[in-house]
Amino acid sequence: MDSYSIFIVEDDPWYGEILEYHLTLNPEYQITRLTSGSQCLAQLHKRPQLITIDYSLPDMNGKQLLQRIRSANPDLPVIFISGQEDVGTAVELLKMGANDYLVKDDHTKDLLWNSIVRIRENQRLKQEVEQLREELGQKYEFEKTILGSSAAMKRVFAIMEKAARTSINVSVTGETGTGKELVAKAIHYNSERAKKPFVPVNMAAIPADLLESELFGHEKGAFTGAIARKIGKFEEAAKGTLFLDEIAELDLNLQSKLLRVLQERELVRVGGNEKVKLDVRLIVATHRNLAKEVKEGHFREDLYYRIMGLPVELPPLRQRDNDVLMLAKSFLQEACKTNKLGPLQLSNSAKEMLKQYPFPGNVRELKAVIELAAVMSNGQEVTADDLHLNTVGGDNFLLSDAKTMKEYNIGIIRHLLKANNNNIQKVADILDIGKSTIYKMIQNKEIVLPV
Amino acid sequence: MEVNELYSLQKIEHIARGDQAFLRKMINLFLEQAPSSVKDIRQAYEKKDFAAMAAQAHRLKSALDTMAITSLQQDIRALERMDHEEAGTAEAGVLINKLETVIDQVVAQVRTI
Repeated sequence: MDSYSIFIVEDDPWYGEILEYHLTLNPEYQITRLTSGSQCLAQLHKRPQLITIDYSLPDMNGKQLLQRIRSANPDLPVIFISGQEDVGTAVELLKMGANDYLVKDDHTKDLLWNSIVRIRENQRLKQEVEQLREELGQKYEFEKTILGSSAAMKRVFAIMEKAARTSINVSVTGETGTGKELVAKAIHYNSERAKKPFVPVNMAAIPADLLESELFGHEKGAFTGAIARKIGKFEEAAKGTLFLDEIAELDLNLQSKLLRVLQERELVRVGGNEKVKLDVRLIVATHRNLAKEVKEGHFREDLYYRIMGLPVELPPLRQRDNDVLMLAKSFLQEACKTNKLGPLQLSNSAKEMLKQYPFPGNVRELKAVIELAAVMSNGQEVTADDLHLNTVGGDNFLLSDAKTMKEYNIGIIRHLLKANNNNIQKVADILDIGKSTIYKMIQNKEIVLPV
Repeated sequence: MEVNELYSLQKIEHIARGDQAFLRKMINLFLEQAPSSVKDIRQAYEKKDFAAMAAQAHRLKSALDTMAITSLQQDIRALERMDHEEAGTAEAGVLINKLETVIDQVVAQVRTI
């Protein structure tokens, strides 16, 4: 049984007795009766979970007491019970943060009962949200969120820490699948704004004609179908972080609207006149080269400088040294857990293959490859045969990164071996080279044939 | 259920839901509190401390409501709301006289329960 401490501040012993008797019908409620405002303030250190206050107390009125309670504990629920119905006072008290205002009559005790039940439910939900936020914050600790010990990733972590400590705008760039949203979340959940919302918007996923109202909200009747006022993503992210993914996809018209909002730090909902002040941290991301987009006239230069802020450049997986194996092991463990499989290891041939493959789809592709391999694996090991690496992009990966001629040769031979069922003679014929060239590469472990 | 024209225990019995100990406690509290509050109202009136008079009337109000002493429900509210000027008039004195009389009668009857 969870005990719940309630102070009843009531100078009328008769009414106080009735309230106490009624509330103690719930054995969880631990009641403390107090007869004045000063008594109540003196007992606040006992940390009541709710206070009911008779508005007219002998030493101070309800407003004065509420102000002093609020300065000591801004979140403590307070219910007023007044002998007189006074709408003006009720409104004023509710504006000051009172949770309810009840008038003493035959129904008060039942209304009070329901009000406390509602407040407790709210408190429980708030606690739950708080707990989940904390868990989320822990989940997004940099090292737990983004695995990597390569020099390139260490540089990224250092910039992310700087970003988390400030409220400066951040721009995250990197190829598709490098984890841009994850970086944005990690920055948010490690910043002072962690307890406020993180609101992601993918600009490429929302039709252009809906994007304005999605971002800035709209008033009722702003356009056909606007049946009620809608709060936009900027307002939704109040005091938190707004993550605009694929920012380069924004059309020029909306770019100028976004620029104005960022400059003015306020917005006007579509179809409205009211100016809404903003306190939002902006993180943007794109897989495109924004500077190039500016040069080509697709992206406004002034907006570019406004949003660029602190740039975080995520390296492609192929430039992250041994991170690929660290990530692969982690994804494999995760896949085994999710699919209720026994523990699996990566074979040497699989490791070698993963290290050699350029992963044009980056971490996202690696994850998909490993998940599939875990399911396809028949033993305790994931072998090279279980890895299906010739995914989207096909041969293009051969040219996806600057390489030496030798590395190109190895890449081409490896690709043809795979395409020709490891028939060395056939590959040698296709390339018009001697078989011995390929055998030498195998001997030197430059090429690993699947067992 | 105890009902007569001066008061009714119906409301307090409803709250008590058969709990005789609570019912007795509330009756005793009324017998103790009501005459004392009336006395305080009288003294405050005579000292022309009308704020104290209103505060005492406010404290007594819920007991009168719960005991369903209907003949005093408007009067106690009038005393509670009286401003300085009104409280100095003869009307306040009349209301207090009535309050004393009715409470004396109710107390006498309740004591016999």
